[in-house]
Amino acid sequence: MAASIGISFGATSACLATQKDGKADVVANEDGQRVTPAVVAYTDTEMVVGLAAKQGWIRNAANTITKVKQILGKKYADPAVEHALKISSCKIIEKDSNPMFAVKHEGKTKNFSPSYITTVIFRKLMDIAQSKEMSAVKNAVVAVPLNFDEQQKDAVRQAATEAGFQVLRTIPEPVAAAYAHNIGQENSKESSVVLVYRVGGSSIDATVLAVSGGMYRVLSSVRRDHLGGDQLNRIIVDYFVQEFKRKWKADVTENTRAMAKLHTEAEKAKQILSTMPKASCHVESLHEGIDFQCDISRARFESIALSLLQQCLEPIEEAITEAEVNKQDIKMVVLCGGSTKIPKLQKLVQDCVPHAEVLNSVSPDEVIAMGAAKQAALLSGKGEENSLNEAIAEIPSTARAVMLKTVDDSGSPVLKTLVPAHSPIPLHCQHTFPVSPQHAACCVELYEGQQDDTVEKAVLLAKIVLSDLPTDDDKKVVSVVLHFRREGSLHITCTEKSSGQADDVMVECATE
Amino acid sequence: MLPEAQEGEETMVVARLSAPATIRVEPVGKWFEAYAHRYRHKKTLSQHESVGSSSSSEEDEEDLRDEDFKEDPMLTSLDPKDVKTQDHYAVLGIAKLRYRATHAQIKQAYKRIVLKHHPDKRRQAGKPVKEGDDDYYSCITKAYQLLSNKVSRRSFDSVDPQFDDFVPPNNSNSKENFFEVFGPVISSNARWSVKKPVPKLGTMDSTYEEVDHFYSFWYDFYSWREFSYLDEEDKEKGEDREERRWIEKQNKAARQKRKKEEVSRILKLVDNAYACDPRIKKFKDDEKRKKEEEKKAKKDAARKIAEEKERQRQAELEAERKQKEKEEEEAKAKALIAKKEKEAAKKQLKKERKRLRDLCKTNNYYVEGESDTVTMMESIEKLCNKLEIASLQDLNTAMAKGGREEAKAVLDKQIEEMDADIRREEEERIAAERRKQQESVRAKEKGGSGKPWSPEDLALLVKAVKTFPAGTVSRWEVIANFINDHTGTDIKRTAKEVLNKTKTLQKTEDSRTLRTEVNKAAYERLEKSTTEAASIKKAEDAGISERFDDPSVYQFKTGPWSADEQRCLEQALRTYPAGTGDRWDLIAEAVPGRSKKDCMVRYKELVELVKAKKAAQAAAKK
Repeated sequence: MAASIGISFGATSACLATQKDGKADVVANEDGQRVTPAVVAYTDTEMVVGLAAKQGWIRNAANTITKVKQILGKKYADPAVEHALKISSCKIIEKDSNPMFAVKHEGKTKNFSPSYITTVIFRKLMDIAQSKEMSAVKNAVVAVPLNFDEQQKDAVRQAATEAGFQVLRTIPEPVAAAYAHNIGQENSKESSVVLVYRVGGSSIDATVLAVSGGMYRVLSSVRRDHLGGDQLNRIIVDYFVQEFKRKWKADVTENTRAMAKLHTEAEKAKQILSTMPKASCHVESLHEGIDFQCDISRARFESIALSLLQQCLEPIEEAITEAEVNKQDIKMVVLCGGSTKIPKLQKLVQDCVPHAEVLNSVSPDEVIAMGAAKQAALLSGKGEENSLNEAIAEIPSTARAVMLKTVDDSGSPVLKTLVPAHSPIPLHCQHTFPVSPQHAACCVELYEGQQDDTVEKAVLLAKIVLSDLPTDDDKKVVSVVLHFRREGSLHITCTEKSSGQADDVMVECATE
Repeated sequence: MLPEAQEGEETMVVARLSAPATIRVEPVGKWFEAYAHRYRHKKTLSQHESVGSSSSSEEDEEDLRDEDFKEDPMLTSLDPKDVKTQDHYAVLGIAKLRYRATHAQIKQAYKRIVLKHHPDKRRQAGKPVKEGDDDYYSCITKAYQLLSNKVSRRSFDSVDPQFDDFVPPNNSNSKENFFEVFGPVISSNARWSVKKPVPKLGTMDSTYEEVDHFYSFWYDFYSWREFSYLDEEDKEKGEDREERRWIEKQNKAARQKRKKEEVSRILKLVDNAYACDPRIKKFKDDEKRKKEEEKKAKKDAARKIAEEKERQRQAELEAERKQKEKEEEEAKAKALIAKKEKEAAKKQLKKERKRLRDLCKTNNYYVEGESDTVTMMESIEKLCNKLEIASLQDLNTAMAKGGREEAKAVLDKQIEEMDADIRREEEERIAAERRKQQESVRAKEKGGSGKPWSPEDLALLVKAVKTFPAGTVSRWEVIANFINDHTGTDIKRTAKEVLNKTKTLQKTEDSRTLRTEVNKAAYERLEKSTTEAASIKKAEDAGISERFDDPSVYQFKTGPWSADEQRCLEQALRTYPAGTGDRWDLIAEAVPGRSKKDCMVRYKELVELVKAKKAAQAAAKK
């Protein structure tokens, strides 16, 4: 049987996960690493993808293609491409108003389109998948950024298809991350607001998701480009450069090779500092034959990176404001992206949303792939239905919450939410409520309104009176069955279990 | 806890629910998939979701609704012995659903029936219950047994007693009410298809593709209907293996026959439908019309093209004709202009001439005296004829400008120039004529070889020809070289010239005489070139032979005339023509070594010779 896998394809790295026996797990590449750099390098003799390409970057920067995702599916005139032109180590040229990478390969200058490079990376992922247990890897779900338009999604889908995957669906990255943590999946009655915070290599986004009725809704999403892990690396590089200058009175900024070496070391140091209190960096013959040796402590790193890290938090605030929710409502924060492993950043996030539980049980750089894998497993074997399902993104739902008036022990009325707002319809649910043994008659009053509205504020929809209840039964329960029809009307049936007393009403919906 | 109902409260609807809102959800998670599945299959939510039940298994099967369930009133009177002929669906109370009933529905119906009709329940209720298998309850269990098994249910469905095997005939009624007649039949027969979904008959507005798909599906109809239910005997009833096999065989044959009938029935149905289908007719007509239209369009197009071509050709011809006409007109106009110009020039010339003449006349020809006037007039006439219009004009203006004397000077100059021109022309003409004559003479002389042959050269040639006989390698080159080396002249001869000369020499009639002459000349020259002593000796020899006759002749030779002497004589004869005094004395003086008499004699001989020659020539001519 074909294994189904989830793919997270980022600007700096790609991750592959599969679900086995109901548990999603990452597929490690041939180097044993769970994340594969999304880097393609061309040399005189061969083309290398992944870690080897990234390691060769120091020597072969001009022919190493990085951050292909940023310009995938974009026109040359796009500002993102303009920015990529500035930072890319290899040449980007314009061809038919589309950007192309110009690299030297086998002695000739060749042009490769971003979609081709993406295909190459996907092919690498395919190789990884095939080299590990899975013989017939086919079904895949690819996670794409929330802001990807149809064209970009198509480009990703096409690249993956060309690499041999059968793309079942593309899903948004933040949703995949939330799904990986199984939020709202256990119980469809569960309703919560979740913040998904992603710090990638070169972009940051914060997304506020509402989970109700088992469905994910994006309330807001804020994205900051050109901010992220790379900037942190640069800060460390700057620190190293300063140190070098202080010790040896020499400036290495002009030495591009030395800078590249420092960059690699800085990245390593950053990763180490996420788990260790101190990282040491050692580069032999960095500049003019001088060996460079430098230690950096986590405290030092945090102090020099603090302003940047705080900058990184801005999207969270913005997203929460935009979503028009209270900070207290956010129950969970899902972290994704390698940089969120930084303890200081996690702490800052926790401080920012104090009531929320920060979820990092799944490694942040794998969480998206895991979610995609789960989705792939869910979809596998359903065939052509899937592509159709993607189209059903807009569904009708209840506009407001439906509540029932109950009385607490003291006798004051309390509204209990039966169906929260934005629950997809048609909906059918049953609730049972105890009735005081001495009451011979009870009244089921249904209200409609905002969550947590008081009885005074909510609108009374209907009243159902059940009378002649046996007074001797102390386990009287009334079941209230609500049935929202597709067209919007609500059918309410109340039944007293022991006596069989029942009544029902039909509440029509207002026409718009 | 629910509140207590107040006195007087009753069930009522107070307000309307707010209209449903559309929300955008992300296509992730099992709940979404479940929703999408329901959405696609237009299914409603199951009733099993209730508080506390977290079962995620989805019960998509539809429940048995009350309206579908109807107990058979004859149920209690059923005889278990006729279980084979009973309607099992009716027994279970789902006669309405029949083959559409799901497995769950059958199960539910069975449960309901059992609750009421189970012998134990009836006994409780005090109703009569027959013993063992005789009770009608066994019909119910049998029905459930049969319908709950997929295979046996299918065999029963296949022979559903309520199914109508009717095939609408191919008649005018079916044609007129095609959809009414065939629609229900087709849809009822669709249930037998193995392949699903089965295409519907459609409407009059169905597209060609739909209709085509419909018929291709139905012509390839693959039915699951089978007739094992109608088996005459149960295989299991056979007493031994042989009998069972025999029964099986019988059954199989019967089944196959029925199946065949069924297949032909479906085929007949489809055939009839196809024959009656007004859409097929419409499509055929459409096709025909389309073809005709296409044909017509093609024809039209061809005709149009032809017309277009013809028109183009006409236009080209017209253009050509016009062009020609235009050219002709132009040529005519040009000719006219040229003619006019010419006439104008002529007129001008005439005018100028007249002017000159008048000018001269008025000025009395710039001369005094009649004779001069005449010559002058002649000159002027000549001038008039000779001069170009431009120069004539110049002359006229020049003459008109100045006074009489100046005019005369100009005129005289002009006349002089003209005379000089005329003279020069005359001279040139004469010179040209002379040149022409000379050239013709030379051409005659040459006769092939450009360079003249002196006698010495001729002698050399003869000698060379003899020295290098035929067969010598590149004989004529060698001869030419020999001559070139030994000749006294500067003339260089080529092999070809040499060859031509030799040939002419050989060809000439008197080549032999010529050669002898040449030889003789050579000999004479040899003699002449000998030293004086030799000549003296010769003279002595001559003197010896001639001394007796005339001592004066001692000085004069009397012998034959040598060529040199001959030449001298001829020269002298020419120098002193007849009539000159002392002619012969002078001649004799001019010819050394010959006396006057000798010369005279020789002259006479020559005259004789010439005369004879002429006579001979005349004779030869005759």
